Amino acid sequence: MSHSDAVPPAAETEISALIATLHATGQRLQQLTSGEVDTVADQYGHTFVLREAQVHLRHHEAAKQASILNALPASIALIDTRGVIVSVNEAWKHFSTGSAASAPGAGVGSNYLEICDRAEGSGAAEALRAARGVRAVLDGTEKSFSFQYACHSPTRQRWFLMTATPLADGHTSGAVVMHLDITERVEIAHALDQQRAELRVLVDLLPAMIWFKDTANRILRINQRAADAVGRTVADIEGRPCAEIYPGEAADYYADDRLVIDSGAAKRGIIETIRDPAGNSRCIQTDKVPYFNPDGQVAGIVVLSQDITESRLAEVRIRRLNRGYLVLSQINALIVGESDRARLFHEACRIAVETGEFRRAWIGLVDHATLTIVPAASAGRSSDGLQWAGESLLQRDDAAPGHGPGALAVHARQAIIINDVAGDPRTQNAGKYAEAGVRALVVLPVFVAGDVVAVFGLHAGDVDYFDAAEMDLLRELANDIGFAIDHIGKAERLSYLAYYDALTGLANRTLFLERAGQRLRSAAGAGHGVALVLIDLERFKSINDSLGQTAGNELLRQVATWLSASLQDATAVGRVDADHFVVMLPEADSPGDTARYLQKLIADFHDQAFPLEGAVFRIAARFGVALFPDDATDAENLFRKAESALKSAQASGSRHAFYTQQMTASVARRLSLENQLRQALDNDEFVLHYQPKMSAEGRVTSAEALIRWNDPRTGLTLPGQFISILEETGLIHDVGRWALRQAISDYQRWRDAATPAVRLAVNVSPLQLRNPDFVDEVRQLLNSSRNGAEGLELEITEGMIMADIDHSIASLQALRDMGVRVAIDDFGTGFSSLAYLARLPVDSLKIDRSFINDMTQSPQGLVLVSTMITLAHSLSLKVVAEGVENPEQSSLLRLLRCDEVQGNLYGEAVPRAIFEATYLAGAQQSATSVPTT
Amino acid sequence: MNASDSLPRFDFQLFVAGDATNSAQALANLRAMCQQYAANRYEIEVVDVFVDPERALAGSVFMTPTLIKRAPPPVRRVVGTLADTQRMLDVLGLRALRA
Repeated sequence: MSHSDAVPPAAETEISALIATLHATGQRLQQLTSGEVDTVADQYGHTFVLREAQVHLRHHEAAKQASILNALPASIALIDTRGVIVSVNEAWKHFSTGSAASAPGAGVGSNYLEICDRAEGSGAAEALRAARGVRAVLDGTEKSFSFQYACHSPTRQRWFLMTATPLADGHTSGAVVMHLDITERVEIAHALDQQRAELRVLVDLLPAMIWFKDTANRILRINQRAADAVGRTVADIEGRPCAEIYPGEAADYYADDRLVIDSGAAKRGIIETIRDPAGNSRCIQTDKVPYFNPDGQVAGIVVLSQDITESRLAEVRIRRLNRGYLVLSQINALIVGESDRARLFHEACRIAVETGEFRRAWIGLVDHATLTIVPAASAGRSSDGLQWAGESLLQRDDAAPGHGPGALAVHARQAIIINDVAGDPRTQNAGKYAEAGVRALVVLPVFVAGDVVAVFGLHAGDVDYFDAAEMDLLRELANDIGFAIDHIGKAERLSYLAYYDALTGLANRTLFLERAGQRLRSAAGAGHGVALVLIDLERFKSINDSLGQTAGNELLRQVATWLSASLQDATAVGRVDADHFVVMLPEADSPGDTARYLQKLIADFHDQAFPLEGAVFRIAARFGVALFPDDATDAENLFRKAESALKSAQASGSRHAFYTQQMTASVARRLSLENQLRQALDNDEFVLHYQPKMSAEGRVTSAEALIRWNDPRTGLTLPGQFISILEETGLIHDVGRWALRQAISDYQRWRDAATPAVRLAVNVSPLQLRNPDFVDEVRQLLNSSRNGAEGLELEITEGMIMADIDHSIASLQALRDMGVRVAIDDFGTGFSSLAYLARLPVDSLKIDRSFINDMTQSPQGLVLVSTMITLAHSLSLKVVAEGVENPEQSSLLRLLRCDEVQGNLYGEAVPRAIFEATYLAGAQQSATSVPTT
Repeated sequence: MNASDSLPRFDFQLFVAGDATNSAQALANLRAMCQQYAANRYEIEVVDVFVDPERALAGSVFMTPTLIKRAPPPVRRVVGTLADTQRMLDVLGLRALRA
């Protein structure tokens, strides 16, 4: 065999010889040591390994090495100092990462370093790095080298660890290069990191604060939220003792921790209140849960705290809103059932306070006329100081709007919300509110048909009570109240319609009869009569047809107005049908009054011109009259009787008819009589008849003038028939004057003719005497007659005088001063005060005929007359006896020294001519012309 | 029982040639004997002449495996695999001290 130059051929022989020697030496040593020795050495330390040991060692070593290397999961190559691969393990042979650093396919004999140096492509950087590191190890610069590199295939991501460690045997003789697939490890590490990161995100995300504490109360982990809560960073806190971070914690907090740790049981639902860094109060709910190590021991606790402040507030808010909805629904139920406005308001306020738990609720009505808010209802717990915050609200015009939220609400036409009473400039009386515990208030305007008709106010005990949700609710409530007010108003209008005629505004049949009933009752109490007149507008329908309904309606309104004005009392008028009205005539003292009112009404109505559509219309009407209490005693029946009367008026064609025929007739008669009497004076139908008054001797001393009426239809009519009418109509004054004039004139004629004349006594009616001008009138009349006063005597009834003593005395005195005589007529029938009697400026008393009549009937009668005569004489008064009918009376009176007598016994009243002829002629013969006294 | 306190402790030093067969055997035999006859009272120091050839020289050890019993006295030196257990016990003084 040929070798390298290192061994020259000559040496080969020597080598063979030496080997033979060695071999023999070895055998001998083997023998000497019985095969139990592995090595021998000389005193110089040269060791010789015996053959068996050699073999063994060689093989054993290699085998050991190989098996060790192959057992390893890593790919291992042993390289020498030059980088040549000396041996590799099995793994290396199959190893390939695709990266040059792994020297794919490189086997024993290849130079690892060169392979790396030559690397190109994606793994080049790693390969170079590897080569560099290996070199460093080989030349002793580094004790070892390792690095991780990634080598990803299209299907998988893989990581590798490459290490190089020196093979040292005193000096570096090579290196062990190892590649280890650490993909799994890396993946696990990544996964772990990922998990850790996810966990942190999760933990920071939770809407809670989280701490992980160990059993020594050290904070192992804390999430961001918890860190923020104490204003520090996570890194700052983790690892520190809990007491250091939370120095102020109460002892029982740690007791809780201890309990959880010791018992291994969680404690949940701990509620506490804390202050956050901003100083706000927060409500926190905490759970403490132990966590365990793999041995089952408590390793620490997890503390989870949630800020439930908001959810608590939300709860409160929800409860409050629920209360609000309950109030709304209760008040709505109330509105449906309540028809009385005052009750509605009170109940609404009460519900708001009791169900809604407001401190106070109040409602005020807006009076636009007086520009004030009028309190309508209030309920609540707060003190009286706030009872009527509404009362002090005065609302002026827009130039100076009123104070207080109520006025503001009305002006602004929207709710005034004051969520912090103490701090708001709009509240007056802030102190009072604070006292009452009112911290927020609101006033809402209540609208009906676009106008603010009321305000609704609420007081609450919490600041910021009135948030958006609450206000929505309250606005709805104000709407509902507005609706209720409107609804009640409509109902009231409806009930108005039930009683009133919408067109004219007059009472309808129902209401009119109600009122009539009341009037009848009061008239009954006063003893007066009432007349109910049903008026039918004739041919109204034809007016309606020709001019249209609008015109017709206008006409009706005008008639209504006219009737109301005519009666001066709109409540006495009603409209009972399309063309029927009804009126109640004023209470009548006498039937004559009723007749007169009716007459006037009918006449005025007939005369009235109603303007319509540019023209004027006179309306014909028919009247049906029923009288209380004569025809009926209750309103309903009275009305029916009036209807019946109307029918008979229509049937007979008369303008009016009374229910009672007689009434009709007598009233008709009376009315016609009235008319006639009016004309009588002008027509000289009145005449005076004279009745003589005789002295005791039988001489005519004077005469009483008695008025008669020559009724052209019925002839001579006595005063009883017409005097009352004269008085009622006021004609009495004219007629009375006429009578006086006539009497004075007749007397004057006698005096002028120098015939015997007697004083004429004229009756004076109370009305005449009451007339303040009466005395002057008499004076005037006397002035026109030369001898007038001598011939005139006035007879005035006792009752009339006593009715007004002082006036009477004055008048009588004035009359007597004129020379006129005064006689008290019908003496004994009045209510004389004897004291006054003495003072009266009168000349004589005329004893009423009733006494004269009784004189002969009984002893008392006689005594009475006797006493009256005596009394008169004692007062220096003459006495005249009226109504002397028979000689018996006459002789008695003579005995009693009565001064004058008058009566049918002596003569009836006769016309002047006859009187003259009968009494004055004779007197002329037997008496002087001088008038007797 | 503190009998072991009064009993001696053995201190062996075994020179081997790596894990060559005889060396390995010697070690194994020594251990077995110690375990059996001087449990917990022995110490074996193994010196690999491939690794520490100077020590071998210093200890005048020229062959492996060589066992040196350094304690208790007397010091003994044995070369070989120590396979003959009975003889070894006597030589090393282990027999009498069976515990």
